[in-house]
Amino acid sequence: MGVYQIEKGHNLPIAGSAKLKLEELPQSQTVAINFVDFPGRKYRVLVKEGDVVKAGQAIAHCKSEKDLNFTSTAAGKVKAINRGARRVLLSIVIEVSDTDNAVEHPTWDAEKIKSADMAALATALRESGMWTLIRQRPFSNLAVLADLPKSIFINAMNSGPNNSDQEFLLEGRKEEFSLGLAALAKFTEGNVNLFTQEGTISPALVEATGVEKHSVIGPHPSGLTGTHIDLVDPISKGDVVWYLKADQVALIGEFLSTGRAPTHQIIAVTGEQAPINHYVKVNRGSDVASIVKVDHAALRVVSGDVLSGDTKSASDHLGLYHNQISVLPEATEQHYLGEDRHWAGAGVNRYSTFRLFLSKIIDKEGWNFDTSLNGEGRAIVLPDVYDRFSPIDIPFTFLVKACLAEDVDAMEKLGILELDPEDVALATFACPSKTEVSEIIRRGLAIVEKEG
Amino acid sequence: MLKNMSKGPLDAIMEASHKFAPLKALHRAIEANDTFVRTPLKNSQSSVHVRDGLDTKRMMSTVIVALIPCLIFAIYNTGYQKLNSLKETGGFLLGSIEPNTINYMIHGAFHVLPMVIVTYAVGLTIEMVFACVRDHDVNEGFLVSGMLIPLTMPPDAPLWMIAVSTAFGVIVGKELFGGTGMNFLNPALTARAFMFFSYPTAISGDQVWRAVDVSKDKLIDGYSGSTALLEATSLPREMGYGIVGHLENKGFGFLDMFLGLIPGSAGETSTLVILIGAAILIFTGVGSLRIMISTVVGGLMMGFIFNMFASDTSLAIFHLPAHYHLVMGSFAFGTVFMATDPVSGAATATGRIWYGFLIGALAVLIRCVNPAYPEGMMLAILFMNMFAPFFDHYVIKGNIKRRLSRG
Repeated sequence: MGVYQIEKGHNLPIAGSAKLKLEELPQSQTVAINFVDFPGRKYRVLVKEGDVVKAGQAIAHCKSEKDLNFTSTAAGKVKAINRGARRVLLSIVIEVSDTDNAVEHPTWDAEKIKSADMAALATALRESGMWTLIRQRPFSNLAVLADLPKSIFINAMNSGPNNSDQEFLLEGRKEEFSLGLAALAKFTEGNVNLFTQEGTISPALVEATGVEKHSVIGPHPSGLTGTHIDLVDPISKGDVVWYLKADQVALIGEFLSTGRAPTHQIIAVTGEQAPINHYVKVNRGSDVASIVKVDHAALRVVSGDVLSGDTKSASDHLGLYHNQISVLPEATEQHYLGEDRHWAGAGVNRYSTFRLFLSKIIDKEGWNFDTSLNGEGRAIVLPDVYDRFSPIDIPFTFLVKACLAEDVDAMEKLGILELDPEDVALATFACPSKTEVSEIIRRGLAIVEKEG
Repeated sequence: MLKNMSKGPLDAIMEASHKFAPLKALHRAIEANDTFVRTPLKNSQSSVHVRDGLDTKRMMSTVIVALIPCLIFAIYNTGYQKLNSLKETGGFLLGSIEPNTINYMIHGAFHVLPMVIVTYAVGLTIEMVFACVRDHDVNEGFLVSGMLIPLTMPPDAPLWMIAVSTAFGVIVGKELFGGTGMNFLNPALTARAFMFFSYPTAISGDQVWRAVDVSKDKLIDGYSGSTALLEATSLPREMGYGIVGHLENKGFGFLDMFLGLIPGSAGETSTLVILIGAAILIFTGVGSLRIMISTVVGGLMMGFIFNMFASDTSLAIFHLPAHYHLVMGSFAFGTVFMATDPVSGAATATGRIWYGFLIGALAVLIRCVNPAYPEGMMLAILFMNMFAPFFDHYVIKGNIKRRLSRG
C-alpha cells in the first residue's frame, strides 16, 4: 500500500483526448484474433475458411499448451486464415453475423470462486479464451500456468498520451471487476497490486478488496505497468509477475458472471483529426474501418497510444490488449530553411521537451503531433537523455548498446528483464539521434527470451 | 520563398543522385546538403509514432550559437592585440589605422575567419568522403569541432598547420574509431594536441600569440611577450608572495583575465564571454552543468591544496589564489566547451562528477608542478577522455550490484 512519487518522465501534451461520452457502434464487419499479439508460440488452427463459428468458440489452440484456447470474439463465418513467412499464423478473421450464437460456460460467483481450486478456475479461463488477457513479465507474453507469479499487477492508471480513462471504462462494472480480482488472486501466493490514480473515486476501485492499493504521482510513465512493477516488486532473473489492465479484469469478471466470453469492449477514439472523438463500445478485435473511416494515406490509425501502439490499415483489426485508437496525421511536407518547422527555425510549432525551440515557452495544451521523425537516424551523441525519461534505475544507454551487441549476459545484468518496449517509449520519443530505442529493447528481449 | 525556388532543383539533384553512377557514389554528401536546406521526409515506422522536435542538427547548431560570442570576441581581441602591439612598438606600418573597435574587428576578422573557413573546409570534406566511402549519413558532429578548433588556436598560426591539425583530429580522433558518437577522444582537442606537439613553436602554451606576422611587419621584429600562465610559472620562488601583484603589473589582473583583453588563443581568453556560452548550454540542457561544476570544484580544490603548501621555497605559482586558475589559460573554455562533449566524456551522472572533478584537479596540478606544460587543461581533458569509460564502468557495476542485491 502506498503512494509513490516519481520525477522523471514527461507528459505529452497531445490534443484530441476522448470525451467522456459512450456510443455503441453497430456490429463490426469482421473481427480477428491477431496471433502476432502472442509471439513465440505455435498454434493448431481448429477451423477452416467458411466454417460457421459461435462467439467464444475455440478457433485455435496452442501446440505446447493444448488446453489453451484462442476463441472467436463474435459469431459468424471464418473469412480468412492469414499466414506469413514460413506459414507463421498471423490472424484468423471472422465475418460477423447478426446472430447471438455463443458458447455457454458455467457461471461463477464470489462464493464459488472462493471455494474452487485453482486448476478448475484455470481450466474455465483457458477453455473460454479469457486466459489470453493475462500476460506476464518478463517478455510481456501470455501468462504460463506452470509459472505462477510472485505477484499480480492490475493497472487502473492512465498517464500515456490520450490513454483511456480506466475509471470511465469501469463505470457500472464494480461487480465484474471484483469477481475478476477474486479469480486472479487465486493464482498467486503474493499480492494482487492495484494501481489507481491518486484520490480516485471510482467505486469499483475504491471498494476493491483483497488487493494492495497503490498510486503513483508524477508524469508519464507513472501509469505504466513497468513503472509499477519496479516500484513495488521488481523483477530479477527467475521472477514472474502477471499483469492486466483494470478493464481486462472486468472482462474476465464479465465472463465469470455470465458464462459467456465477452464480445464487446469499450475503447477511446482519440486524436484531433479522428472522425469521432469519444468512447465507443465495439466488438473485441473489430476491424479498423468499422470504428474509424479515414484516408490512411493522410492519417495514421494506431491501435493503442502513439507511444506504443501498432499502425493499422483499414482492413487490420484492433489489438487484443488495446483499449484505445489513436489517429494522427502522417507528415507529408518538407520544411525549408527559413520556415518555422525547419531544424534551424524558431520552432513555434515544433514541439520539443528540450529548451531549444520557442515551442517550449508556449504554454499550449493540445499539440497536434504528426508522424515525422523530425530528423534522421544518427549515432547516439547525448548518452544521458534516456535516463531522464524513466524512473527505473537502469543505465539505458548502456543497455541499448548491450542489446545492439546482442550480449545476453550484459542485457540481463543491466535489467532488461524489467522492461517492456513501452517503458522506453519516451526515450525513443526524445532521442535527438532518433534511435529506435523501443525496437532495440524489443529485439533484445526476444534474444534474451530465446537464449537466456 | 526558398521553397518555391529550390524545390524543383533539389528534387532533380536528389533523383539524379540515386540514378547516375558517378553521383551515386556521392549521394550521402548530396543528401547531407539536401537535408540541410530542407527537412527530410522521414516518418516513424515503429511503435513510437511521434518524435521530439530536437535533432542532432539543431543540437549541434545550438553549441555553435553558444560559441558565437567567443568567436566575435576572438575577432575583436585578435585585432585589439595586433593593433595595440603595433602601436606599443611604435610600428605604424599600416599607416593611419587608428586602434578603434571597427579596425579591431576588421583586422581580427582578417586573421580569425580564414582559420574558421579552413577548418570547416578541411573537416567537412573529410567527413563527407568518409560518409560516401562507408555509405553512412553525414553526422553533424563536426559542425561543433569545426568551430572549436580555430578558437583554440593561436591567431597567427599558419593556415596549413591548422588544416593538417584538423585533418589529424578528424581522422585519428574520430573517423578511425567509427565516426561521430564512437570517438573516445574529443576531436577538437586531438587537433589541438597534434598542433601542440608537432609545431611547438607555433603553439607552445606559454609564448604570446599576437597576430603579428613578424616577417611582413618588420617594425616589430622579435616582439614577444608572455601569457599570464608563463608569467606565473616562471616567477622566481622567492617572489611567490607577490605573485598577484606581479601579474597585475604585467597586465594580468584578475579582472583583466576575466574580461579577456589579453593575448592568448583566439577564443579562450575571455571568461566572461565563455560564461555567456555556458549559460546557453546550461539553459538548453545541451551542455552538462554537472561536468562544469565539478570541473570548477576540482580546479579550486587543487588550487587550495597548493596554497596550503605555498612557502618561501615552493614554486611561486603555489601562491596563486585558487580562483585565478579559473580565468587563466584555457581552463574556462575547456570546462564549458571541451569537457562537456557528451561523446568523449563520461555518460553516467556519477561518472561525470568524477570526470569533471579530475579534469579540474589535473589541469591545475599540471600547471603548478610541470613547468614544461603551463597549459594543463588540454592534456587533462584528453587524459580524462581516456578514463571516462573507466568511471562509467564502475558506476554501471554499482548499478548491477544494486539490482542483484535487492532480491
